[in-house]
Amino acid sequence: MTLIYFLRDALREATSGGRKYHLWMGALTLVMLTGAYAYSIQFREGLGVTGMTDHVSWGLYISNFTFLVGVAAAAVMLVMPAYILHDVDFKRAVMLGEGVAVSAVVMCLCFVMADMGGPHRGWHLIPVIGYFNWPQSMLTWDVIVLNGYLALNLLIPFYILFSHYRNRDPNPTLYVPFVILSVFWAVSIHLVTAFLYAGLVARPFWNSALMGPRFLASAFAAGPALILLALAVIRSQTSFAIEDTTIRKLSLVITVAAQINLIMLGCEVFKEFYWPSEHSASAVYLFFGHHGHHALNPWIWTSIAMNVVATGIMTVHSARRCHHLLYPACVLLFTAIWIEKGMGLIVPGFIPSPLGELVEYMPTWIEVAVTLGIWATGLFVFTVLVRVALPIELGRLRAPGTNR
Amino acid sequence: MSGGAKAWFQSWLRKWNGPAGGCGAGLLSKSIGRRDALKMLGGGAAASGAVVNAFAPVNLLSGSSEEREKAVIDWKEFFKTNYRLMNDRERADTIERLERKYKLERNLDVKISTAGPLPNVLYGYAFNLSKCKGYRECIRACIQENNQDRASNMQYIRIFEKPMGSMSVESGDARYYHEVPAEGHFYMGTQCFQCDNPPCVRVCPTGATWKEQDGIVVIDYDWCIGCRYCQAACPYWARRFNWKEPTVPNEEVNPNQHYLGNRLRKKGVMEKCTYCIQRTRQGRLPACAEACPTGARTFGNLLDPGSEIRYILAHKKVFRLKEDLNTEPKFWYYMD
Amino acid sequence: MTIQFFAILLLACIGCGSEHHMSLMEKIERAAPAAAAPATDSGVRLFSVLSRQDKLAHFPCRGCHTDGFNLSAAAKRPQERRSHWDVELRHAPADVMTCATCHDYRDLNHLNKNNGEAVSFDEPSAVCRSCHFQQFKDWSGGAHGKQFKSWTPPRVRYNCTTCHNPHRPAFQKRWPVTYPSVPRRYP
Repeated sequence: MTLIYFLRDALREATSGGRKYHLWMGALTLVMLTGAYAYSIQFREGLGVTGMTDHVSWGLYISNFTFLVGVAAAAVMLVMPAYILHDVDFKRAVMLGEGVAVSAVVMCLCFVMADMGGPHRGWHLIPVIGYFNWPQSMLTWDVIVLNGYLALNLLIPFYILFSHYRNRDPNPTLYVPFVILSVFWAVSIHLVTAFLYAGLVARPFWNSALMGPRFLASAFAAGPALILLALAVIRSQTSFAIEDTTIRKLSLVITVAAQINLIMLGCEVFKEFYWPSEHSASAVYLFFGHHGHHALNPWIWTSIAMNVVATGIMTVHSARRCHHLLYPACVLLFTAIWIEKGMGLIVPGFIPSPLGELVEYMPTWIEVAVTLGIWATGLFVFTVLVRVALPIELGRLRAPGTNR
Repeated sequence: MSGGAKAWFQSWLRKWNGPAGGCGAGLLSKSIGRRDALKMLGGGAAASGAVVNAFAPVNLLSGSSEEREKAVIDWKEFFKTNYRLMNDRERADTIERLERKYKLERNLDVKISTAGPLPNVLYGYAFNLSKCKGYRECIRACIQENNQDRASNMQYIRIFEKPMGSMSVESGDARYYHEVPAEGHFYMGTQCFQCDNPPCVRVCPTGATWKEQDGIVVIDYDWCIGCRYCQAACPYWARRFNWKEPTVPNEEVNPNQHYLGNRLRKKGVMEKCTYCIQRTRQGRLPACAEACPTGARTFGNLLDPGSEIRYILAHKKVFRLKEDLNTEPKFWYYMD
Repeated sequence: MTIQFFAILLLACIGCGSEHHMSLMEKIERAAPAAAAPATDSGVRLFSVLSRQDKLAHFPCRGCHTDGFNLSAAAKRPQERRSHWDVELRHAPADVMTCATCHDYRDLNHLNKNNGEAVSFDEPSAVCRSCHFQQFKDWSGGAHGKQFKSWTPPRVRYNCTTCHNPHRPAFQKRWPVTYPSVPRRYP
């Protein structure tokens, strides 16, 4: 019964709000609808309406998928200290971190669906009724870890919120084991996604042991950067109190991760360019262009510039503490890593082809519209989650009949 | 499903089963019986009624008998299992459905084979780099044989024109547009090498592609979900994706087909060279080997010590592309 | 951590794979040893060849050439000849080769080997091998020439002259019969 009340209250919270809120949600819905329209064209005509070809067979969708797996994994950066080390500063932010994780995984699954040639045949993947090529295919590992992660990140906050809603303290022996599990799980979702690419001998650009660690480092920079920005918005728009120390600790995590990511970028650049071999063709193409083809150069140099500037700002203590510099730095870092994972990693892996042919890639408007639509979906989900979680955490929303 | 609904369902099944004898010469009377149709709808009686309403196309309930027949075929095709998991009966059923489907949809008479691998046979291919002149006769024959999409000009074979003095993959140009052979160049054909240790097979999440007993790597076109992981995993760029609905004019369709080979594909699925499985399992040469005017292509059974391919392996200095990747291609290059 | 360790162990097992301790060539050799191959140089041919004689437009040649032919007439330029205008010998330099190198000028229904032995038009390889012994060796084994329609025994191969015009044996320069798909280009 309480569950029904909870759902009713949650729905009411999510659908009511000020003019700004409705404007925001309306705008998101509009973008989602545009995306849905673009997807309907793609579903009818086939993936030929995208910029992908037999040469560059993964593009914007898989790029975003890869990036968002990292964002989802990053929630762990907040979960671990909050639940296990009982860090009060982070505890305030952790619910938001998990909201980010849930919406990121939802986006991941949407991007994978959007990329599939036969999404209606997706049931072929379901064990027992389909044929699940586990453990051979890394994609099946990814299916397991992503869905498991989604479940974990729905269950834990739901349990805690629901307990608070009923005005009870959540029982740690019930949820802490799952929290610990989710910490390892978060690491594994990003490692498994890295292995998805690192396991392909056909693509020397990806076939590197650094792939996994670099994924982790960049994820633990981009994910918390997004969470930090979300915290900043929530702090300015709601009465939910977020301490300066939370922001400070979070920004420290981002800084260290961004620094490690830059070191790893240096390692990769050294390996590819100290002795460029035929296996370095993708890197040469990415950074400097190859045989007169340059499409990706502006992307990667923009990304590196943003990365360096942002990491530079955050490395200086006084600059990091100044919010007017920190927030733009977070935006820069987030964008830089988004480019790095897509146009800087997935796309150049296909160029040149394993037989040395150079075909470039540029997304079409349909791809862009679908991508924006999915991002809007993610933001929509995140907003709803926050909208429901905040009043409960603030003690404003309680089950009828329980003490206020 | 209630008793009344069941009776109604049986009655209309019989209704469209009847006229099938006229145009399809009893093709369907055997394959899609009442029992099968009901089996398809699932064991749970209550659930199956709901499934009909949720999934069945509108045509199932209204429209002409042909439309209904088509809808039932589509329905059953959608829910069939992976080819490897089918028993002989299920394979025969899906073949009849597919043949009937093409008849109904396109007025096409095709013959789809499910011939299995021949005993004690492992296919191998050899390509003589000294002989290929770059005429692309093999490509033309391949397209005609394998019903590839005409609109996108899909091709399994790629002939690379390489300048003398380099074997590097980057030096090749597959898009040459001049008289051949060009001075100072040689020609190197690539296609699926049917690796003995195929990376594409390992990565497929649904097991829609696998290596047959005779060494051919095949795809179940109806099981592929189109994730294109195999395309990223292939070191030889041998796999192709149907980015749009493939088109082959009726008069150009090769009606002698194999379920795992050249049968008509649909949008959103992978396809690839199968060494012309529909021909080679009948003892014939692949279309490319037969079409080659210069004798650059040799095909045969690796397990027959007297075969031409074994002679080449024993007497010529052969190499394979990217042997260092441990993919073990069954496609060798050699020179005179 | 333990979970991850086991997962990685499991992956390692997939990587090693049970069946790939043996290389492809080892597998082939084990299943069908090369030693079992019939000898290709024993003089006994293990395959048949496509016939050629029935494809010749004017066979039998002795219908016209009742008593051999005149070498000096054959050496005329094509346009001055009374027959065989299309035949121009572009096979080897004139000081090495004449019509009589291959054609038996006493009996035009046959070819002749360089030891003077007569050979049927169905067996041109016996003539060609006089010079092209390496190609003949390859052809006898299967590394040169073309299989006919099938890879299964009984084996049938193309004759030398099915592919090579003996008067002009090299393959000619020409346009390819089709073109590869050209991917979309972006600015």
